[in-house]
Amino acid sequence: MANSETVTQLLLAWSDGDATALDRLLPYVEAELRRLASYQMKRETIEHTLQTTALVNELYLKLVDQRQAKWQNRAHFFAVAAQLMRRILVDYARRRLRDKRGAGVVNLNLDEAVVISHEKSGDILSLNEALERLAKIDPLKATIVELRYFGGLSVEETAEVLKISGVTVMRHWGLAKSWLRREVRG
Amino acid sequence: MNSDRWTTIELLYNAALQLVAGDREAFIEQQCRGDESLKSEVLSLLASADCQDSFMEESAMPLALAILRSEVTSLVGKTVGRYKIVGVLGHGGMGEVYLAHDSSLNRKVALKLLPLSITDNRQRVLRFQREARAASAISHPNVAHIYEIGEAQGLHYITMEYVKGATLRELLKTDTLDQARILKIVKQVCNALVAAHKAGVIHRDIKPENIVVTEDCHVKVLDFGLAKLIEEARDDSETDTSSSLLTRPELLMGTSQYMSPEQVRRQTVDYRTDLWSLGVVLFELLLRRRPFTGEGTTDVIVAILEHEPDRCEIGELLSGEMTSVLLKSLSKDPEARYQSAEDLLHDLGQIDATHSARTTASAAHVNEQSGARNGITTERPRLFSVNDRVDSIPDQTSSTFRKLSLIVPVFLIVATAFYYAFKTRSTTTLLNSAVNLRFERLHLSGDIAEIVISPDGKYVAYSVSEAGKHSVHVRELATASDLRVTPISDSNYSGLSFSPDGTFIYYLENRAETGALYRVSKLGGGQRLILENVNTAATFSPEGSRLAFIRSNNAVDPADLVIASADGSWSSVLGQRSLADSRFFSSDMQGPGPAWSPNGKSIACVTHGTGPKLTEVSIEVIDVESGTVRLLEAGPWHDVWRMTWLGDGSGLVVAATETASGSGQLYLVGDQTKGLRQITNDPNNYTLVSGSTDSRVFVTRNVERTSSIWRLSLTESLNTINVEQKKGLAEVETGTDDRLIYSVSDAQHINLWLQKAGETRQLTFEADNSKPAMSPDGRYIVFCSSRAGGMNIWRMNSDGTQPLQLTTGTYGDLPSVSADSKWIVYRTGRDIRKVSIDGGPPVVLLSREVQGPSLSPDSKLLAFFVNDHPDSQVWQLEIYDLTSHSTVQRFALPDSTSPFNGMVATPDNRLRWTPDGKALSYVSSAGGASNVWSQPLNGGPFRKLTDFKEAEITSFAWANSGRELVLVRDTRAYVPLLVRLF
Repeated sequence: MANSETVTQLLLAWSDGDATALDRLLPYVEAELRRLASYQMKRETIEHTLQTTALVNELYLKLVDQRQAKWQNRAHFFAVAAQLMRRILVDYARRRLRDKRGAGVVNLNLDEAVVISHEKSGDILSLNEALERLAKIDPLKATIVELRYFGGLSVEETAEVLKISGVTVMRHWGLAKSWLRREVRG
Repeated sequence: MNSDRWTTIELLYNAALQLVAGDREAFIEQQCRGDESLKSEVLSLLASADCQDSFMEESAMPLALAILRSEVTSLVGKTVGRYKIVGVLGHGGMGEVYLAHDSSLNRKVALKLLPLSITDNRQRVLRFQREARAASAISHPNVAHIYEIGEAQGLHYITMEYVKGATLRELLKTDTLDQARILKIVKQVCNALVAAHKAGVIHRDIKPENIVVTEDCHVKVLDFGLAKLIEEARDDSETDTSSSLLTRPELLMGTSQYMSPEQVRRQTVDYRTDLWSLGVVLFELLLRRRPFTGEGTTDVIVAILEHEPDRCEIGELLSGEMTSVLLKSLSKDPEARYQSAEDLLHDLGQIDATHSARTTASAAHVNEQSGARNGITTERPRLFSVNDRVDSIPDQTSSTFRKLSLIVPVFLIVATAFYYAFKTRSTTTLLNSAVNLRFERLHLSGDIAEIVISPDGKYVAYSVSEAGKHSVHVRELATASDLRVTPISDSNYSGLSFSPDGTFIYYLENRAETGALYRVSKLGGGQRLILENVNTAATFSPEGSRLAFIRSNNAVDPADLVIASADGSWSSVLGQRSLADSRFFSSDMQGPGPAWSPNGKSIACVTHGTGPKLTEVSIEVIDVESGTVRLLEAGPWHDVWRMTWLGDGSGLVVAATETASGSGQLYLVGDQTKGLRQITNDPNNYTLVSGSTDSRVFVTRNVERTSSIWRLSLTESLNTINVEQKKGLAEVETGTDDRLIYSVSDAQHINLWLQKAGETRQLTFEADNSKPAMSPDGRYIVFCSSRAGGMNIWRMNSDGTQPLQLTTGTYGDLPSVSADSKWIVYRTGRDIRKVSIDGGPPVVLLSREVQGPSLSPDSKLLAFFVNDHPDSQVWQLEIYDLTSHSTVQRFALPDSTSPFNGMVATPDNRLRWTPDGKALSYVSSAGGASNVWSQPLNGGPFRKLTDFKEAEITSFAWANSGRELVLVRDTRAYVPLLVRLF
């Protein structure tokens, strides 16, 4: 039906360089991700790392028509997920800090159990800001950080999305990390 | 940073990393050739690279997922209506299902929350509720009972009988089911269907997930009548453009393998669809595979419509009776199927379970490869159109729209004709013609937060707030009849606008940081969600097909000027501004939205300056085609409250404030450098404006501030001694001989007045004069004035004569006079200074940035508010000894009594020593109401001195040696006004 076709087409359009396709793709992926996350929670799996890759894989298989998609599309899909993860984290950290400041905004949607501490929230926000600055100086490095750190992509997967070699990814990643550490940790 | 430099840094960094650690610094030193900043940049990066910490070692993705998960479980522990959510049962296309406790009946229930994206259509919800009520009337042991269809806190939910057991899906995964058990289960499902069909309810979604089997093999069928809702939502969204599909993925997720051919075709369905689905379930239970499968949804659909189950395979495995029951259930043509659940039940009853299986179906026979082998016959199903009882409910929306579609074109023709007649008639533009105004008070009940006028000038829509409840109403001006068009809500409504044809009112329902844009007919009826994440009122292209608004998810994120279709089906960003630009779009939900010009070619937007120019507000005109920006010459303003185009497009009517101390007035602003014309200049404060298409009538709102001076006795348990109402009161100060000095703000200026023994006289007459303090000897009044530029400390005789400027900086504030009346302590932006009451060079007493400094009665101590972390709202009260230059005491202010109450600190918030010097007092809005609080110096507890429940205390002072308190209290009322232009 329309769903697999649409997501697949959007993903193809995006990997072909249509930047607007991403904006249309994101809400779609987010909704399904939330659904899967809730399902996974019910299964009470704990192994985070395994879980993460499995989850995005599941999401990918569910949303993307395998016959139309090339194998590279999986990596692109992970890149979409990376942006989504970054947004989820940053939004959450902002809410968290705002709650602390007592601006009177009570977020009823959040479990009271602390997922991220205030300190960690601050770290996420300063990293996010530093990453925005890095994007102005060196957009490629910022993208690599987004894919690897927020999206959990391996070096190879990152290389595939960006159509560069794995060695290049590693070189950029190294400097990006040094630069960000200096910016964030002072 | 320029890119060459960055490339150099990168080269050096990578080269240095090739070297052993000890050689790196020398290498960089040599390569940088004395460029110290380059050197330190690269070295700092290398140092960072050597850091052996866990920075960014682990991906943050698991954390993001944990957040997602915590948001999913969010409702656990919360209360919805009278139900307390205790756990999560599952999720589905219909939303999350929770285990909840019904507190009034003390029983467990399953609570299903319907997703907002499904319930956004009022009509659909109503139809669904009707359906669900019919379902709740079914009383049968095999039907999970529906208890309640409810709505609480904006959430639609259904509560159902909670059945403890396993779904057939779970049983299929784990258990081997013998045929006797299968028959027992299917017969019970059949019984449930008999009862439901008798009650006129079709299930529409019979599948193993919806069939629960308890331990003693009792069957309950779940979710009767609910599938209709999701089907409708899907159909609705598919008739829209494809982009709306994208925003509602949950509607697309299930083309079930249990759907009947007529369901797949979206034809009208009747009871026989359930019998097909039960046939599929029976097939799966017996053969452990589904009859109609495929790789993707399309294949499944083809299989359902075209392929026959493999008769040979079925015949090999099952008895003749069972085979014929299955094949009859799975007839593509409903006419060839069982015609009722009773018929199916009857045939099932004929099957002897012990002999029905030729071989036992087991996992060995599971064939997941394909459900669609070559069928023996392939019938093409006939078109099927039985009139369905439940489906034949007349569709009110479509009939309303048929009527509207007749009315709208006529209206458009009339409106267009009128527009051109008007345009050709006027020889000069509205902007340049003489303007006479006639004001007319609109008597509306409640606190009017916003008001807009319809394009034809005959209606106004307004939002009302009363006791924390909000609603939107429409008034027909000619008849003064009012109609409420939204539910009464706990959240604010703002951003009202009429569609250009006047039939719809668009409004924002305020959420945490953004709003949801809804529309409703001006005649009331269902609300329709148009778009989420909308920050300002929508403005419309002249023909009404498109709308524009500002979107910003967060104050620090870039704000977008978004154009969307009037039904919300598509949207695109016309312009984006972030804090990095010199001006960014105002996205305040109570603030001005963009305004689309009458010729449709441009959109006016209100923008704020960034950085130091944050308080400068401008109006920009953005071309819709090219996105090019033109800044209107008028301005910058201090505030632009609202704006509306003149009907001929020659300019805008703007409700704006020119300076910080000014009040909102109405202006005409030219689009073509015709400058600015102020059309009102009165003591009122106009903070809204909206106009009819012909610019004959506007609606605005005056914020009517009522201020009064209160005198309270503290000795006689807060007896009110005296209340005197005065317009524009701001601050109050007491002086010797029971004198009162107060400041009054009119539309232009703030001036000081003196009141003594019932006589009042104005003391100052130019510029802004505030923060009065009287010298203890009664000779002088010290105050702040802007009359010589900046804000400086001045002195005058207590009768207002002989003003003398004492400081010459750019900013001096909050003067206190010493006990001997010889010197004055005041603050600047950076420090605390003292200056002689006769003038001369000031001396810095304390180089710290503090708030609200106040000199003790004996002049030895200075008290002020401090905030150690500028971003936090944790305030302390500090007492500083001016002779020993040291901090004497600090009090942590409990959060709840923070003097600034979560707001940005205002320098006006003044600390006052009690006249005996034993306590400090200040105003706080802790607990919601503005009151005077006191902190004793001996460390005793904070104490609330007054007990007001409403209004705002803007200033206070001690009188009569601390036995009395003088207060300025301020109430606001919003008065809507019609303004006619002639």
